[in-house]
Amino acid sequence: MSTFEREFCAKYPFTETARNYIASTGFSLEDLASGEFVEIVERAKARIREAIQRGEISTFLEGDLDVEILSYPVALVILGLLGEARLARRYAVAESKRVEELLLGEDDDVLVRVAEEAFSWRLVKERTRMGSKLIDFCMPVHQFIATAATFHDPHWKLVNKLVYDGQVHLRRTEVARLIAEEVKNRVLVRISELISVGGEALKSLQPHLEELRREASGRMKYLELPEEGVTSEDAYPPCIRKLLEDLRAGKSLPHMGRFALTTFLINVGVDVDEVVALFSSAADFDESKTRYQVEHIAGLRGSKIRYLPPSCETLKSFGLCVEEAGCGNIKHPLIYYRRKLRKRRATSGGTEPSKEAV
Amino acid sequence: MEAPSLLRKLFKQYYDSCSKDDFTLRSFTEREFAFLTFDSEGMIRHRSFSSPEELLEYMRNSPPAHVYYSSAYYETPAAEEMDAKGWKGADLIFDIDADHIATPCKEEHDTWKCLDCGAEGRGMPPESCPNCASKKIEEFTWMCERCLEAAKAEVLKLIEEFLIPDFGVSEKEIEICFSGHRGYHLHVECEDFRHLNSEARREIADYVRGVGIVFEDHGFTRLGSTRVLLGPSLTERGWRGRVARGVYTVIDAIDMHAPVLHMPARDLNWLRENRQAILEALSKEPPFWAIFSKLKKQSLKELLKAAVTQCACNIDERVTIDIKRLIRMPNSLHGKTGLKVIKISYADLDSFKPLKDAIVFRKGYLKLHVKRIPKLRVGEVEVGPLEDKVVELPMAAAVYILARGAGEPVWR
Repeated sequence: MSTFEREFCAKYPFTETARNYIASTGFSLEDLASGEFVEIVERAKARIREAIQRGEISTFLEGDLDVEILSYPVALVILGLLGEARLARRYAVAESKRVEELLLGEDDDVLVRVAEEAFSWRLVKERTRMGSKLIDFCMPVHQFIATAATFHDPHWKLVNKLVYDGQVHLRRTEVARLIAEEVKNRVLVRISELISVGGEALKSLQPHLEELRREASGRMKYLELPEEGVTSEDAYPPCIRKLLEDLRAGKSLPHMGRFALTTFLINVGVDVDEVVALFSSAADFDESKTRYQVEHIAGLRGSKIRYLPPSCETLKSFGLCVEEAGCGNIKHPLIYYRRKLRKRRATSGGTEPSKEAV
Repeated sequence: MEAPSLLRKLFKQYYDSCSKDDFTLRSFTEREFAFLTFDSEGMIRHRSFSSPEELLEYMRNSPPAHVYYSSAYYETPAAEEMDAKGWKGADLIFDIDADHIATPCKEEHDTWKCLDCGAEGRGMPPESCPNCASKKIEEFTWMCERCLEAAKAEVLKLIEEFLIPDFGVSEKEIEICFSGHRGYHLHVECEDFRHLNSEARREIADYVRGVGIVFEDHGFTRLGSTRVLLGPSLTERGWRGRVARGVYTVIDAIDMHAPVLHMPARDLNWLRENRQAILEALSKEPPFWAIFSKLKKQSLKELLKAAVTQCACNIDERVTIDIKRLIRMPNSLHGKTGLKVIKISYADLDSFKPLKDAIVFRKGYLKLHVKRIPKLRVGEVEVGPLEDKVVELPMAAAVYILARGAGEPVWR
């Protein structure tokens, strides 16, 4: 394969050309155990590390292109084994940023090629003008909405796009953004598929996993919780206490309320049975359904990813935040809990005074 | 014999007369079927059949009041847990119901009653009781030709304004069904849409309903930092041209639209007085939107919003968004009317007369005690208004009244 083509693979390792190239190298996960591919593992770790630290990933075209290309699938395997939803998400967003930036510097033909090879999108170049609007590409409605529906910005709504003959008409920057978004989605799906990978590869990667887990939790603190903090209800944030109260009073919680409460409880270490029992007071309680959902959230089923509670901002927008409680600058219910526990431990004669301001 | 037993007997006669070809569906074995019966309240769900013959056999043995099939295709349609069914895809469906269209005749034939305080009223039911704010409101709705014509006009709008020109769907991919009561279902038989999730389908529903439209995205901008308005021309495609044409229509019939345009009297008068000049300005190429510079910003926005309402299609978005919906089976009977759920081709839609063409029970007469009905037309017969009367009616009208629960058969 020409250097130009290998560079294409390094930049867009999720395309068909790249997948075929990776397959042609004969590289498999078992090879990682041999220690022969240290460079690839190190480059994969660097990708993840950069995502953790800067929320971005750079593309290296100066070194060994094969290492660059192969580091992509290896990074996904590592993230699958780590099984941390938040980290996986941060990585996926970083990959998608990387791709978007690269695409903005490419010719139109490259955008068409990437879209076709990666997602079978029927993207067509089209240079026209609609009033004051420049149009660079069009693509089928169903392919557009399958990805764009997740955007919250009203400008991405189908109703705000120029649509005719089954085609959505888009600007170049929009296409780059849309491809990037789909890259993010596919990365997340791929990581969740890789969660059950086992065998030799798993063993040899173990030390790397520990290392990355430490770095990630250092950077993204609330992934980790004080272990001794065995569920002290009075340390729960006001929103969660309110949800608990409502539930115990037999009120029915909105969907987001149930999700917030369950994810919170699971993450502070309440076990599945206890959470299920809590919901038994709800009028529409169905044990098997509830158990299924709680286990899913706990990462025991389906994607095997344990979900985190929504942020304060999300809770606010769903009207679940108890705003008058005044939590201050706290941005996440788990941060509230962690700080509260630390503070209490410090004041109740703990040896370590809290270093953080609460 | 009471009404439900009589209806059950009549429905059985109908299903006995049907052939298996009346109940074919694409991917028949991947669908879930569901039934409501005449004698119990619960729904019989999670049924699947190996063939239309088997389904027909079932309906002959236990004639159902209502027959539904899933818009979704499943690996295991008969599994009881929704998660265990294995969703494979779903048809794209639009539901257009006269219930959602404010027709003036509803005042004449529809009533509602609050189940908490007993307050009553005519026309479309309010969301909550104006007397006690209760949401428990019972509706008594009736089919009428005008309501059904309004629903049909909405179906044509959906097809001719949205599905064909914007979504690029071809005529033969569109299947239309009269629901057997107050509306139409429209199925788009196109592989492309089958795998879309709810969020993506919401985008389609919002598109045809004009929900969330941002006018700046459709070319309505100010020239630089001036007050001069730029906008799309009437001939443009998609929502750009549609909004422009909508504004034209609203201005053209400004006296009709005036009551719903919330703007200062000064602006409204200006629109009225300059009607002709505005229509000419909009018809220019490029259109001269700057003519509206005289209007307050808010008034202009109001005008654009009225244009969207004018052009949007009134679908029940919940049906389009739901990827596991149960839909009435074509050629089955509607248990609340006795009319047939009937497939109509796009070409025949214009001449389709639901209250005539969907009638099944055409022979004989039936004597019944009518509790209360408004003026009704079923087939060639016009009856009512009636209250607490014993009458002998042609079978179709009698079945309709019995199925509505507004009468009981009288046996000599």
